[in-house]
Amino acid sequence: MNKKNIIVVTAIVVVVIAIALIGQKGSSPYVMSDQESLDYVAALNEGYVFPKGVNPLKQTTEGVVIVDLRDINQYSRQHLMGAVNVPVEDVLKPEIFDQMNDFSKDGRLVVFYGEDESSAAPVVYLLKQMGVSGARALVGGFSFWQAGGNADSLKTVGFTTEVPIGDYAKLMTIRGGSDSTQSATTVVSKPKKVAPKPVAKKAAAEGGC
Amino acid sequence: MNKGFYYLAPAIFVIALVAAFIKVKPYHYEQKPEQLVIDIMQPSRFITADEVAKLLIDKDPSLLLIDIRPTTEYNLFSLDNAVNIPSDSLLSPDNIEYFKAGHNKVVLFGNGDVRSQMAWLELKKHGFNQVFVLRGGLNSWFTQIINPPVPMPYSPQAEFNQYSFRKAAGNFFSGAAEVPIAQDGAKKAEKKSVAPRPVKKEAAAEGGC
Repeated sequence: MNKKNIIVVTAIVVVVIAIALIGQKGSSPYVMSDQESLDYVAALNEGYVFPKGVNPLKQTTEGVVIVDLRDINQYSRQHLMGAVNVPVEDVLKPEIFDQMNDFSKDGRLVVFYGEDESSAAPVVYLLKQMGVSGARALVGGFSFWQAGGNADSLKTVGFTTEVPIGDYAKLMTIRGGSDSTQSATTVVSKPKKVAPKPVAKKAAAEGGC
Repeated sequence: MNKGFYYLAPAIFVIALVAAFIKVKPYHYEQKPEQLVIDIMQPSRFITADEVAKLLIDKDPSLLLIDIRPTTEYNLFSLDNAVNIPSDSLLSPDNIEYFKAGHNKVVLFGNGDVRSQMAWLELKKHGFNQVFVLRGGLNSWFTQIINPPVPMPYSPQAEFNQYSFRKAAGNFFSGAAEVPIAQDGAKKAEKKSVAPRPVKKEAAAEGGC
């Protein structure tokens, strides 16, 4: 009895330790630490977008591989010059991933684009974390270049979606900040604006008849 | 019997130790990249500005808006009840509590949706599943809710309904939050005045002459 107990207990302990070790150790596929990758997100810049001032419609620049992330139907209908098709689901296939990794280790850039500007973002981010340091997103995405976008219009802003289009300082003055008195005045003035419109219309209609 | 207990004591100790490690695990949890690629392919992470506006007007308690822009931009303007977590401190111990707190819809937004998608992927990687991305970010909020495009006269009715909803929501968020009922009235008045206005005017002019 005693011996059996001992054997059972030691067996349980060994199994638990083994599970814990497997769970803890499993080598991580991610090269960047959490803080490194978050800093990369906060400081999105040249390291994220394809160099500005380059027109992918005209020529394929030396040392650049352009990858179309859309599916095969969209790719075969129309794609940017020199682009190769790698649908998102194939990005991590060993032969494709290794090839991209080799390109980036040779100092070449792997430039991804999807339908719009932000659709390549998560893929680029994932590959960066996995060590493909040459991964970039094509500024504007496919729709921008298809709609006749040109490199000149991109020179002012590196990438468009992360630039605020609203004048939020001005908006806050309209909104009246958080002051209750100011917001009260806006509340009063608003119904005034709305109300007279229908009245004026009715008056005009009456006058017409 | 006694010998069995001697073995049991360290066994319990070891199990407790393992349990302690497992408790730490969700924070250091790492999703496999293959699973992340599958997540990237699904558009279900996106939530539109209209949906967020509806949830905000309904005061949905399960909604948590997280503004990942820098604090200076957050202070200038943000969505109602949004929490500011700049993207570089997304995983700090204080902030991680927001994602653990059991909100059903944690919506990330920046100016666009490049950064917020990366932040979304980072959170997915750490096993937080109820995280969504505001499609187009604050810029889409600005173009759709604050400054909605006026539908063409020949547009379908659905577009007019959408426009009047957006207009009313825009009013709702720009200071008149205390009187949602009055806003309802304004919504109806506007709905009428938007579409038929030119027709009525013409008629009045003819009648007048």
